[in-house]
Amino acid sequence: MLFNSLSFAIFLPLVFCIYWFSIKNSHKYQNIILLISSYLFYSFWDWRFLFLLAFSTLLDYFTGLKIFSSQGKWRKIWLWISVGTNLGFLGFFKYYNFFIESFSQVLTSVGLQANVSSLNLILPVGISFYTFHGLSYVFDIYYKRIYPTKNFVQYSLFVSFFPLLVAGPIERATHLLPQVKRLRVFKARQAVDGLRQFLWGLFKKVVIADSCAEYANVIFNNSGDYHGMTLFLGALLFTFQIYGDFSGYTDMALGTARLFGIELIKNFNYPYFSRNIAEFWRRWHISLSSWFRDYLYIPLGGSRVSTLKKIRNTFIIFLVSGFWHGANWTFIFWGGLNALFIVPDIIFKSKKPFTNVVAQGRSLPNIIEVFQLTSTFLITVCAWIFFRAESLNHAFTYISDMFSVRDLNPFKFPEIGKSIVSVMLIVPFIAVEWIGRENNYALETIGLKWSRLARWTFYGVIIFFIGMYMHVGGSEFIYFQF
Amino acid sequence: MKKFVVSFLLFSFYSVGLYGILLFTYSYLAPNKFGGNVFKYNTSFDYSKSRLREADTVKNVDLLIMGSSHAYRGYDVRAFKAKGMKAFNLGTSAQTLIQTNYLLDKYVDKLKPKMVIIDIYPIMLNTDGVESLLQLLAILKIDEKLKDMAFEANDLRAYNTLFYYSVLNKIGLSRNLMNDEPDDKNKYISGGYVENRSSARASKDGSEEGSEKSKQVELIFSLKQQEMLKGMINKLKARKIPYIIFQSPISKRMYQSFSNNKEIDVKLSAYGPYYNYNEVRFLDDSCFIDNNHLNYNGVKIYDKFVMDKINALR
Repeated sequence: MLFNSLSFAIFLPLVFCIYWFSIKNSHKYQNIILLISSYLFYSFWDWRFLFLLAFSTLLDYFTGLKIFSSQGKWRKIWLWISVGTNLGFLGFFKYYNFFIESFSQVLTSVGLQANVSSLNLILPVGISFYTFHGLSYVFDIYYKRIYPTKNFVQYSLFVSFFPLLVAGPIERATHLLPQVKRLRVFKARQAVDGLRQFLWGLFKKVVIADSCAEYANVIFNNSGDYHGMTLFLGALLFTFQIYGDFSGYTDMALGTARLFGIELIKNFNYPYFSRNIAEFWRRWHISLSSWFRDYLYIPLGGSRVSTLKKIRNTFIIFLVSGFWHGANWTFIFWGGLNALFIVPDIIFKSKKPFTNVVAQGRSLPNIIEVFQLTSTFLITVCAWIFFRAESLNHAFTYISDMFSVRDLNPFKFPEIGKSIVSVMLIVPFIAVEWIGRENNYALETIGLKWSRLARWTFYGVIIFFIGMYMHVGGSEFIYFQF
Repeated sequence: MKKFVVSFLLFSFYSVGLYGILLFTYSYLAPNKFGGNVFKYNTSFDYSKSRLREADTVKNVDLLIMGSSHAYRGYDVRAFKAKGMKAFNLGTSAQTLIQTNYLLDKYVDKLKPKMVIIDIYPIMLNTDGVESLLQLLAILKIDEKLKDMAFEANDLRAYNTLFYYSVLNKIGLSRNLMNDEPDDKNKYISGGYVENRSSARASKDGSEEGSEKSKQVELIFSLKQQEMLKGMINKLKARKIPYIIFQSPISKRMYQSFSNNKEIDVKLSAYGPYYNYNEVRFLDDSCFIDNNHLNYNGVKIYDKFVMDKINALR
């Protein structure tokens, strides 16, 4: 069930009404309703994988309790049981074929006959996300940051709460568990805010991302037919596609959670308004970046080590992060490339990181900021080529062709046709994101001081653009495959 | 909570109203290429408007031809006229059996055909028919059956287009819409046929489309379309109108890219007299505009075959 589907348009109001109207003054029943709804939501993809989700939940719940109650080496043993089993499932479903095929290629390249067969595995939707939820929970117990919960329903809801189940954000027990432990009281302002964020997320996904996808797919899938500016356009459109797709999904997830009185962690913070790559990574898929920071980078020594080790640690987390995205060398290379972009910052020990919003308190950036924003954005566009390409060879050829001019007309674009408006909508989209860049999401405060009629008209116009330009039969969310 | 629900309902009503106003105003004023999810018929190389308007003026034909672009490009009414048959071609772009069924209902009693040809392009047997539906919504006077078809399609483009043309018809602005303008390559022949003399051999061969089509594709005959064909045939039988189902020629490469042609032939032949020209012989590129539409040369060859089959049935 997709957030932008008719089935979800029926499912959400139904769960909302049952949740708020049928049961009052009991967080236990609220949790049970949300848990049943979450399992129902997940079963729309493939009910068979509910067992895997339930098993993973049970495993981490149980090992969490065991880690807490054990002493000495048993704490570590229980931790490794959890980590090993979780990563074992993830590895089997997500990486089995990759390893088998890579192994086979290596054998073939040294002249040996490879007799290995890959399996036709279906990747359970959201496995990377709920596995990481569970792992963060057991790590936090192991590092004595939290106490385990004894309430299985609460823990299950933490893992499988439907807005975040299939594509995050990757929640932390320290943030979400306290919320499911207490009664949620309906707050109209929070619900309205949730609806507003959902609307903006929907616009980003069905208008911006899906329209950009149409042309990005044409250009990437036939990249041999294009060159120069056309290939750059393809990369640019993919840059907006992936942002609109994933941050749009996140906005819809956060907005949906707010309708149930639950706040999820922020996952995007206007990453394309970053002044360097390090800042970009503090603003893109924040829940994953912070997960790797807390459970991999810091245990490796983090920043409190020599420059060389810091570089090593940076490469490790980016390579692992790339590999998390998918079983393909393109993702690993993409991760490594991003690490490489950060290395100069580490070597030259650049001054304090950018933690504030660009051009804070001002309408427009200054010249230096414009340069920083543009250069960071262009670097990001180039890096996304590796993320989108079918293979490393495809990516390198794409980049090489992008800088070549084979004939006198470098502006050979595919037929844009009727969706030209959707692509043109990127401009006002960026403007709205820029105006709202100091808020949790772009629409959060825009129009709040206007009259109700003006505000409603503004939202109505967004709905009109969605109805007029949403990509009918649009694609699934990119991050579902991860 | 009460305040939230009331506010939400009020906003919903307001936004629905605003949506309707913006949809109509914007669609009416904006250039066609900005049309988005509203299909705006302006002028088209397939001459659907000309054909459907002509259909309103024609009566009592010997032969009625129905189907997708393969129909209006593959059956030259002049060839049938030369043999003493008054034919009318009611093909429209991307027409599926869902729209064929609707058009048959609408025109059969008026055109009173002595025989009906149903041309099947097997790719269309599993499509939703929205493309063709949008054209019908834009061209025809919207009746209850057309509305039902739009609701059954359950597609945002169908809803938007239905709304736009309903309002347009209501306020009488649709009469100002343009007619089809003659096209350099495609010539409308009275009776519904579109003549095209260009050749796939002259254009880029081994095109993207061609190479894409060389991938194996499994044809699917959807249950919905099976029901439609069955319903149409029952109607024709009830009126004692003979019919023939044809599959007109497509390029060899494209035909061979379908993995289950035999299976489709078996299914279609169960509905009555059925002929698949692609199982008789393949025409070369000089007979096609692209890899699945006949040009004038191809039509001359194919229509002789059609005529033979009609004569055999008579």
